[in-house]
Amino acid sequence: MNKSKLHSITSNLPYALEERVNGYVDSIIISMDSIFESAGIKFNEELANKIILIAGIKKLFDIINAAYWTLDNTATVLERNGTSSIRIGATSYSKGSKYYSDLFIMQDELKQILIDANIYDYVDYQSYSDIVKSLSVEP
Amino acid sequence: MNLDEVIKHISDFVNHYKNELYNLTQNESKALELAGTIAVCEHYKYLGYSIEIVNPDKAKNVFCVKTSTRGFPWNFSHIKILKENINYEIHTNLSVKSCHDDGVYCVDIGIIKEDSILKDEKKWKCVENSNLLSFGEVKKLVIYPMLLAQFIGIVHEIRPEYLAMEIKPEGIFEPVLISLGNFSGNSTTIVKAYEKRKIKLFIAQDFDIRLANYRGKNVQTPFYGNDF
Repeated sequence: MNKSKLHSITSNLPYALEERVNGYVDSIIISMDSIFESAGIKFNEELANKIILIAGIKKLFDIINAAYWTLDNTATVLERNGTSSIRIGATSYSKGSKYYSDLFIMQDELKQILIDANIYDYVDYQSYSDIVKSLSVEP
Repeated sequence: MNLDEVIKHISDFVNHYKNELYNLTQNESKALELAGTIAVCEHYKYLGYSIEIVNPDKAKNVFCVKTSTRGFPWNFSHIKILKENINYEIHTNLSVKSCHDDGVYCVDIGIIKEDSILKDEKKWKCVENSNLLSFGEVKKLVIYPMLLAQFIGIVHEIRPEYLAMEIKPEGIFEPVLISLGNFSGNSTTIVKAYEKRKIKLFIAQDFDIRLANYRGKNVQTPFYGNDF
């Protein structure tokens, strides 16, 4: 198993994000045998390398998505209670702030890339054994 | 699925948004504390509570997040969680007295009895230990064994009963360690043993993935169980 394909994506990420994506992928690599075992499919290196790539993309998407969701959900919960603004120190984290808009654009654009590439369903799955099962029957 | 095409598109995306991704890493810790607090509120909703936002008098429509030990709690927002006659408050970066001595610790998320903060700038030091029900710590780190040991140490100082507890108190979320990182080294071995040792703590690793699963309605709460 190797992360060479994933490296071409992660090598251009800010260091902190690169570390997090790689750390997560390493934890998936450690669990790879049990992922195949619970999927009831014999280990296969090519499929494992696809899982590594999907895991890395999933982590990157989840980092951006969670950052966006964090603000969006927080803002929505607060709006329901009559508060439309979020402030941490001097910085605004409200809907409409630059930080919020950047996160919205990034998660929206990355999601569209994943949908166009027919990979979004895999990234959205919770279980890696389900991903293995699904990929194993893909032409 | 054309993998080479996927890689090219995502690499282009990463290059295009390099500055924005860097800003994300710079703002994430503060936003994470906010997310952890809101996730704890969502968990209490899952436990049957309703919530009410309380903003400081000076900024009634602004949710002001306390992200350091400095400042008085009443100058920042907090959240009330309500169920029948049981009312609690959730505060961020809250100073709390030790269970053992006069030491004061600052927890990232503090769940306290309602109205246990005395609004007096001269007298305010911290919340009395008996008023703290539970708490959360938020870290942008992988969960390595010494981080678990540090968290156990904090629990020992302020809510030690959770380290030797037969049954959790009903309707109270146990102390939680929220982390953006995954388990590393033999951390899972340590956490797996908590149940047998009667340690009632919740370790919420990969918090961004937990939020994504909650957002996607795959789970009922961000604090779903660990499947080791």
